Amino acid sequence: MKIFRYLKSLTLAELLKGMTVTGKYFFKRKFTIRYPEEKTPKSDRFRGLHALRRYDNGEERCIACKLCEAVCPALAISIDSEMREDGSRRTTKYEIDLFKCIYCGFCEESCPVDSIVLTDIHEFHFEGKDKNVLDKQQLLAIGDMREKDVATARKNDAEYR
Amino acid sequence: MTETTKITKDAIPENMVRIEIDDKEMIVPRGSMVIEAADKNGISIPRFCYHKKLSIAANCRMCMVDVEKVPKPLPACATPVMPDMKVFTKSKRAIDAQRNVMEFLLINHPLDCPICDQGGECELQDQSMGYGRGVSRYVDSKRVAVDENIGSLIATDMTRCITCTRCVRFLDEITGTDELGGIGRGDRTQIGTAVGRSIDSIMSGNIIDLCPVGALTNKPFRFKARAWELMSAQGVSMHDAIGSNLYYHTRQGKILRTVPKDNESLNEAWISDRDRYGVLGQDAEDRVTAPMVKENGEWKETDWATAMDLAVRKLQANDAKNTAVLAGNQSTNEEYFLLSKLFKALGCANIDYRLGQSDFTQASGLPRMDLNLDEVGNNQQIVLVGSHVGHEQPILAHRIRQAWLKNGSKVSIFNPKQYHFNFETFHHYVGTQIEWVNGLGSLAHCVADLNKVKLEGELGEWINAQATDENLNNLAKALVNKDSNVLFVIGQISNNHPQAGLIKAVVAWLSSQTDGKVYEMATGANAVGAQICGMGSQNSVADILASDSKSFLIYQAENDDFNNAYGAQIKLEDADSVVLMASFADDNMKQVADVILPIGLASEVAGSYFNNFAQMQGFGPAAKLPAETKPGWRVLRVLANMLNVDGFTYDSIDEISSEVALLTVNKGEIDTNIKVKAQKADDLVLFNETTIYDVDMLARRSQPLQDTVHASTDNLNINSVDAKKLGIENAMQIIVNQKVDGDTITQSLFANIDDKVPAGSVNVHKCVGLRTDALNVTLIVGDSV
Ligand code: SF4
Ligand code: SF4
Ligand code: SF4
Ligand code: FES
Repeated sequence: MKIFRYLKSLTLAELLKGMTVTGKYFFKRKFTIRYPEEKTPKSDRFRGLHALRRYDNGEERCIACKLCEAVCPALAISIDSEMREDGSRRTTKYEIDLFKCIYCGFCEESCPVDSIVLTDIHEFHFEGKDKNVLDKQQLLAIGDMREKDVATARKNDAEYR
Repeated sequence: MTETTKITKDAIPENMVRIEIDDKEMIVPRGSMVIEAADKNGISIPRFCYHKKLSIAANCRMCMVDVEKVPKPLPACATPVMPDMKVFTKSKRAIDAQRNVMEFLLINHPLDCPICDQGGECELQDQSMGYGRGVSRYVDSKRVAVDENIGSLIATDMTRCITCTRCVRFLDEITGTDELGGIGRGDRTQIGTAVGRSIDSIMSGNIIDLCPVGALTNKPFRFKARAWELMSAQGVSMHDAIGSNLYYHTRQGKILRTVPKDNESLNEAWISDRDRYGVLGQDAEDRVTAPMVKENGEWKETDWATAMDLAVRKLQANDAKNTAVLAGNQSTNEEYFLLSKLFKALGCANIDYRLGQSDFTQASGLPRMDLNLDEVGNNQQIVLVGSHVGHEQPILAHRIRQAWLKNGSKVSIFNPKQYHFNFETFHHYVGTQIEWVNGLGSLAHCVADLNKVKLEGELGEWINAQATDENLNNLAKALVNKDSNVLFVIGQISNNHPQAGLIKAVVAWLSSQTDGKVYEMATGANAVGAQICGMGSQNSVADILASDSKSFLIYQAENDDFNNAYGAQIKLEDADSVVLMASFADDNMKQVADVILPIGLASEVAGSYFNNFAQMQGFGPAAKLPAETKPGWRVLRVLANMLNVDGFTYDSIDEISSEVALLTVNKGEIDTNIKVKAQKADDLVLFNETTIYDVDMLARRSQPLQDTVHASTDNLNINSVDAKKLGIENAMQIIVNQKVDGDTITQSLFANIDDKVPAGSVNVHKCVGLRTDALNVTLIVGDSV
C-alpha cells in the first residue's frame, strides 16, 4: 500500500489531473457576462420593484383591503382608504417605503386581486432624500409600463403556485 | 377526567342544577340554557343567532353540541339544562354538526371579505377559520339580495346576511319599532324593510354591532379603516346624562366610530345613535384649530402667547363683578372646577351653565334622583312629566319599555305634543304648554281629594284651582294605590318650561302623596358635574344677560344653546369684550367674539363626567387634539397664572380630578313651598322644542345625524283645527310674532299641519330662533309658496 502512494506522488499524477481540468476550461467558451451590456435571464418569480396593476379596462385592481399592509413584515406599506364617488372601495393613499421593504413578496401573495406585484425590475436608484417612498401614481405607472411582462411571468409560473 | 372535586347532591341549592360540560362540573340556575352555562364557565361554543340580550331564535344551528343519551346533536342556545346532564362541545358528533352547518351557511355567503368592512372582526370569518372547509363543494347559483337604502347611519349589503334575525329581534324587542323583517322562505329568505323605508329608531345603530356578518355596517365609517388598525379608548356619552359607557375607535389619533361598552347598570349593551354618531361633529367646518384674534373685524390666526395675552387684557378690561362666564353643559368636571374656582377667586358671581333654562326657581341644587337606573323597572306606575323620553335619554326610554314589556308597568304621560312612544301608555295627557301643566295640577287635585289632604300654601291654592276630571281621577286612584310603586320622571321639556319650578313642586308633592320616587332628568351630558363643580350661580342666565356685565367668557357654548338666542346675541354684540374658549365658532360667535382660544372636546381630553345619578366616571383622551388645540384645563390653568390667581399649580389632570372627587355632592331636592307664577294663554301657545340632534354643539354638527328624519326643520307645526280657522295650508309662509317684555321677536316659517300638536298650540324647533321663556305667540299668514 505504502509503495503505491509513493509511486503516485512520484509520477505527479494528481497534479496532472488537476491541470487537465484547468486546461479544459482554458479552451472552453467563457460564461462571464458583461453586465450591464449583457444580462442573465431572471426567474419568473423574481422579486424586484413593486407595481400596482390595472384591469384591461383601465380600472385599478386594488380594492383597499389592506391585507398587504397587514402582512408586510417590514411595515413598508401605508394605505388610506375611502369610498369613491361610485361607491366602490378605493385607496386614497398607497405608499411603499423601499428603504423599509425587504422584498419578501408577502404583499403579492396576500393580494386577493393580484394588484400589488413585484416586477423583475431590480436596477433602480433614487435621486433625492425622500424619493424612496413610492406613491400610488408611481406604482400604477410602473404597472402600466410592465403589465405585459408581469402578466407573462404570472402565467408561466401559474402551474407551480 | 378533570380533577374538580365532585359536587355532592346536598351542596346544590334548590333552584340550581348540576351539569357537566366537557367533563367540567358546574352548578347553574335551573331553566338556563346550555350556552349560558358554557359562557359563564369560559367554555366557548360557536354561535350566530344567540345574543344574551335578545330572545332565543335558535335558527342558525351553529351552536350544536352533543348531549349524552340524546341521539342527535342539540342547539346549545335552546337546550335548557337538566340535572346531571353531560354535554360535549368538542366531541366528534358536535364538531361534525358544526362543520356541516358552517358549510351550509357559506353556500350563499359571498366571498367579498376583502371589501367588507366587517372583515377582521367578523364572527362568520372567525368561525369559518375554525369550522369551515378549505374549498367549496357547492357549484350551483348563489343567492343575491338587492340592497335597500335604510338611511344615513347604516350601510347594507344584504347578500352577506345569514338570516340570524338578530337585527329583526332587536328592532322588535328592544326598540319596538319592527322595522326589519324576513321575507321569503328557505334559503331565499331576505331581511329587509319590505316597504323601502329607512330605519328611524333612535337606537338603530346597535344592529351594526349585533350583525355577526357584514350585512349591516356603519355607514359614515364605510371603507375608512380595518378593524386591526383601530385603537380603542374608553369614553362616556357626551350627549345625555345617563353617562353611557362606550369605546371610541381611533385610527392615527382620529375617532372614526363609536361602539358600546357593556355596563349592566347603565346602558347594558347598547348606545343610542346620538352617542354613536354625535362625535362625528368633531370635523365640522367651523372647528377652530388655532388661536384667533379679531383685528379690524378680520379674523387672524395667531400663536397661543399672543392670543392669551389678548384674552387676559380683555378679561381685565372690566371689573370681575361685571364679568360673566357662560358655559355649555358638555365639558369635563375638571374644566368646570377650574373655571368656577378661577372666576370665584376673581370675585365674579355671574357664572352659569344652564343656558337653555328659563325658570331658575328650583335650580339651586342637583336634580332630584331617588333611584338608580336599573331600578326603573321596579315601578308599576311610571308618570312622565314633560318628557319626550326617547329623544332626551334614549337609554331611559329603553328601560321604561322593558319595564312595560317585562313587568307590565303602566306608563302615563303629560306632554305638550302627542309623541310616539315604544311602550303602551296608560294615560296620555296632551295639551298646550299651559294646559298640560294645569292637567298635572288636576291630577294633584284628584290625589288630594282621594287622600283627603288639606292643601296649603301657594302651591296648594294653585292645585285647588285646577279642575278635576274623571280620566285623571282614574290615574290618581292607580297612583295612590298602596300596592304599586310609583315613579315620576321629570323630563327636559319640564326643565326648559317657563314654569319649571311649579312643575317640579307639583311632582314633588305628588310623590310625597303617593310614596313615589322622582327621577329628575339633567339637561346636558355633564350638567350634574357643572353643578357639583360650582358652575351654578344664584342668578338666572336671563339675569346675567340683563346685568351690567361687559366682559364675557363663553366656554364651549354658542348662540343656539341659549333659551333666548336672539337676546344673547344682542347682549354679546354690545359687550366690551367677549373671549370664546370653544372647539367650534360659528358665524354668530365669530361676530361677537374678540379672541378665540381653541380647546379640545371631551373626547380629546382626559377628565371625568358626573352622570344623572351623580356617579363620577373618568376617561382618558381618545383622539388627538387637532393642530394647535389645547385641553381646556391647561388653558384655564395658564389663564389663572396670568391673572395672578393663587392655587393654580396643577401639573396633571389627576391632581384636579382628585380635588373634584372630594367635592361634596348634596342629594337633589325639590321644594314644594314655592311662589306660583300663573301663565295665561292669549292666542296661540308656543311649544319651543329642543330636538334630539340639536341638544349640543357636537350633535348639531354631526352630518349623519342631521341627515336622519329626526333632524329639526324650519317648520311651524300646527293642529289642523287651528290651521282651518286661520286659513293655513301646508308649506304656507307664516310669520310668528313672539312678544316678551315689550320686545317682539319675529320669525318667518313654513306651516306644517300636524295633529300631534294639540289645538291652541304651535310647535317649532328651538334653533329657528324663537325664545323658550315666553309662551304666547300670534301668527300672520303670508303667501303660500
Ligand atoms: S415585499 Fe415584503 S417587505 Fe416589501 S412591501 Fe411587500 S410585504 Fe412588505
Ligand atoms: S392586498 Fe391588494 S387589493 Fe388589498 S390593499 Fe393591497 S394591493 Fe390593494
Ligand atoms: S342582517 Fe345581519 S343581523 Fe340581520 S339577520 Fe342578517 S346576518 Fe343577522
Ligand atoms: S346560536 Fe344556537 S341556533 Fe343559533
